[in-house]
Amino acid sequence: MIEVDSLKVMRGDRVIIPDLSLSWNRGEKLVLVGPNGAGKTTLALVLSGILKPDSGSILIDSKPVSDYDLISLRKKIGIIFQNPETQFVTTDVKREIAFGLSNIKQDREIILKRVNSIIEKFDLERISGHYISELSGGEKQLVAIASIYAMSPDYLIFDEVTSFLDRKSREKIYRLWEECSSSLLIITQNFEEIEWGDRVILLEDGKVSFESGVHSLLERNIIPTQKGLFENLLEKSKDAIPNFNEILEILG
Amino acid sequence: MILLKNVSFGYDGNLVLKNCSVGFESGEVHLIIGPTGAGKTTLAMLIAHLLKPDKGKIVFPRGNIQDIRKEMGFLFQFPEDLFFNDTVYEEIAYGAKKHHLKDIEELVSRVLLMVGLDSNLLTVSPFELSEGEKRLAALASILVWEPSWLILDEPFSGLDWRARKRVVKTIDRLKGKVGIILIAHHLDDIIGYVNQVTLVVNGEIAFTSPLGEVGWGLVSSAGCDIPYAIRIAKKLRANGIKVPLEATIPGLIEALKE
Repeated sequence: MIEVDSLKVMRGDRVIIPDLSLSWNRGEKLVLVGPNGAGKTTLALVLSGILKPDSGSILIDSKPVSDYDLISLRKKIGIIFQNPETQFVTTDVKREIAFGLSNIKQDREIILKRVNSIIEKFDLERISGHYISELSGGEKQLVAIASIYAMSPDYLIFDEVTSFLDRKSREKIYRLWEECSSSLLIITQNFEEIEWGDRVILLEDGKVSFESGVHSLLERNIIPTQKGLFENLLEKSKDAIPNFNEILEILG
Repeated sequence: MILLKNVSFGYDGNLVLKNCSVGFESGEVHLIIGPTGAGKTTLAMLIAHLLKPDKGKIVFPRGNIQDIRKEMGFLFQFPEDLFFNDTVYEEIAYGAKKHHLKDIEELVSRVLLMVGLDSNLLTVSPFELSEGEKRLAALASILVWEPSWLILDEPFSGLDWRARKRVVKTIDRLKGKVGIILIAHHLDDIIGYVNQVTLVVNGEIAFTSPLGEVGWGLVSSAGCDIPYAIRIAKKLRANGIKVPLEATIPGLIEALKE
């Protein structure tokens, strides 16, 4: 379990997160939504130990983040960035997938095996011999996801990772979310992705302004992902989909 | 009009675009869709003359490439790649200064309003912005010098619904005056403002056609998103309700009323 208590984070002179407490259970798929600049990515960076908070505490499985050494922290929690360019360290697809694994001191044999199985899992065969600089934005996003997923950390953060992906590639990621045994934090602007979570949190100005189990949201509605979630969330952030109520009325 | 005639292009011998012919009208919103890795961004970069075709020809209006490049605003997929100023204000004002425009402060505050970026952010470093804010700042830095062509590569990704709505409104306002070439996956926000749609699959132009004539079945089988209204219309048809395949929700509602 990850426990966040009285977290305060500044970036420069801006207070991004004033005072935040929340928990993320082991095995739980948590979805984080909210407007631009609400602090979603900042929270993700702090949780994964990349950014230091100004005050407050974060416990990962009862131990403060700061007490982990880098290798055990990377085994514990992985983050896939919104902009994949920021996370690449090598020049080609295979090396990139192998990098994280060698970083957490896996054996060469295991790395080779894992790299091949990951390439197959993500359908990257066609581009596996390519340089990263030759890839399209969406392909980069897939490689970034694959290379973090390869390390199979206990907690895995996906920061708007489907934004450049077509429907088919997105569905691949959704299958991954469904099968994955890691605890997931899914940050998204695509409300349809809420259905892949157990619990959804709406973050506004660095504060939790709405929280609910996804199942109970779905239960109450006719067209699950589209109608129910929207209506509930939209009470908070009105009319995201224009004329949505109108079409539902007509459809009865 | 910008016209691509039998254009092919490759990186190190890997052919990314094959024999593409497509035209872009000034004053129109032209949507380019296609699966991940199909060659959409490469196509956009060729249009902007940031890349040169290996084969084929690109015809620009008035034929002068140097002039046309000065009139093209390109919003990249990863906008911070282009940031280099100390503050958001400087970043946005840069384009206006470079084009020798006057009343720069006023221009900056106008585009800031247009994209809906908080004016408190003007003094902040562009690298400190959130991903969504970076995209809006990059868009503002292009809009400020009023290019006559706008090429927007995934302008909506990472934006919340409020920001998406504002960007759509901006596109609507510029439509008719500016040629807008747009790459996007999620179509619902923008589809009502689109004139022309081109589907790129595997480096080839699968089709280019006016919005009303788009073969959505083809789009769907290429693994791409189709508008929500089309999905509903298809469901209704499957249930025996006769409706036209309208791409927008208001259009579908009108059709249903009839």
